[in-house]
Amino acid sequence: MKIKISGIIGTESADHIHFKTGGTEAIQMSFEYLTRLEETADPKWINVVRADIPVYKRLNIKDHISFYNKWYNRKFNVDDLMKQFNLEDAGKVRLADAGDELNQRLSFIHSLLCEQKNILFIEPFFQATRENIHLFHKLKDQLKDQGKSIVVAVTKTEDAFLVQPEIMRLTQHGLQEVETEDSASAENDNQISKIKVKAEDKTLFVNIGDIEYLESNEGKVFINISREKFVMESTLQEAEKTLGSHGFYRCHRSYIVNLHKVREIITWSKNTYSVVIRNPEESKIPLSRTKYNEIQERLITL
Amino acid sequence: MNMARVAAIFEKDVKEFMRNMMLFTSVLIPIVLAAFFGRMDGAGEGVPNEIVIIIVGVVFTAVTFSSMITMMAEENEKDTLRGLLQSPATIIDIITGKSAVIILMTIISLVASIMLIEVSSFWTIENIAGLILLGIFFLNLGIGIGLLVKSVATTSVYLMPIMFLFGFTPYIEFLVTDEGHIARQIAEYFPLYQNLYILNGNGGMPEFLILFAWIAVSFVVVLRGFNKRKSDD
Repeated sequence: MKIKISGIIGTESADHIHFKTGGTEAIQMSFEYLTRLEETADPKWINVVRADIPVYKRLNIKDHISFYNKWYNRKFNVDDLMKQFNLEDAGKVRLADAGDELNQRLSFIHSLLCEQKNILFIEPFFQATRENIHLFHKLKDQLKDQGKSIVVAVTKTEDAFLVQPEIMRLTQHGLQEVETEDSASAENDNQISKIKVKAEDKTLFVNIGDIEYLESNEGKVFINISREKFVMESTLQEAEKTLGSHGFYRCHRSYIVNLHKVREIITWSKNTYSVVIRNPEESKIPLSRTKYNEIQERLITL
Repeated sequence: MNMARVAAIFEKDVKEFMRNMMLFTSVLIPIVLAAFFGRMDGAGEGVPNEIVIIIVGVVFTAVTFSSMITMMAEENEKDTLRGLLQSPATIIDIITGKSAVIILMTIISLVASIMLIEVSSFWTIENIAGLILLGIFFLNLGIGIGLLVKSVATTSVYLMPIMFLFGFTPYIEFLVTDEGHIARQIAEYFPLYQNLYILNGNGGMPEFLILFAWIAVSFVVVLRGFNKRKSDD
């Protein structure tokens, strides 16, 4: 199963989004492309897992799961399924009263029960709770065992890295692999307290201590400060040099994180890690496998 | 047809039916009406057959027809069908499962109403055969129109005319008192009148043939519904 990308990006391209049996693809793309991909996906072959799947609002969660189970003629034990997705206490909750978190778990269960061999996840981590991200990883392994193929489409690069370390990016030039090998870091002592950034036509000077993390995306470096993104006119290498002595750490090829803002490190699966930032959104920054031990040392000696 | 799927839909829709106040009360409406009419006759001669047949008309429009279009409209409105429809055959499973629920509810509503209205010699073979044909007509009408309705709010647009035309047909005798009037002559060919004649005991071949003709019309409605839906998708 594959989807032609020329229909999504609107320009000529021979590339396809491949659904490989037992494989997982994580693709970052713009919101516009994401919407078009969702429309293009033929429900006959692809089960689309959205944040808000349509449900029978009058039924409770248990009835809903047993309905899917019977409809798709699966022999799952409904109680086991509910246990696996931490729904044991929610069985009697009517779907009209169930929140987004429970609805997402139901969409996960649906992808497990459905007949289609191909599963397309649309923004599974958008406003997802941490428990659901853990459940996603369990589900991913289970779907792999069933021989299903998974494509995860997200708008934020960090979210793509939540799936796995190897990710793709869909741009107007087609589908490209995002390079993720790590480059050697360089230390440099330099006493500066502010950094120059651009926001549209203004130039701002922000306190280095306020920066949460830096990301490089399509050749530009973005500085993230409490929900805002600013462009920095430098490369990530240069930024690493200037900020290295201020407790910043290159945790990933495309990310530099302010160690002072790190709240915790989460292990999603054996080679997928995240650094959680201490901010209201709990931003999750990808952490390379090779940096997993080093960042811990840096955090201890900070 | 996949019986496991039909059973799954049946089980789900029974649960939904019981929890949907709009559908659940529709079963009660004819029962309450029957209780009223049953108490109204003081002379002890029994309720006139016209009233009995109007109760039957209410059962078939308020329960059979209305529930079918409401259930289909709700699936269309909430977009719950799309996830289930992977092959064209599955819509048949869904409709069969839903029809089974509605037939069950129709029988409950009809039997309870007739018991309350205390009419004698209602359950004769001819009458039951006539009622089954009438039921098929209204069920088909519900399926055909249900395939087209996009939201629950628009169901009343269809429900009102169908209810007055086919559910309350004998009421025309109160509106048009002139027996030879063209409207009354036309009304006598409507399905509910055939059931009235059968109930009166003077039903014969022509009445059943007219009912079969109406069923043929209802199948045309179903086919139109399917074709319209196919071209919409």
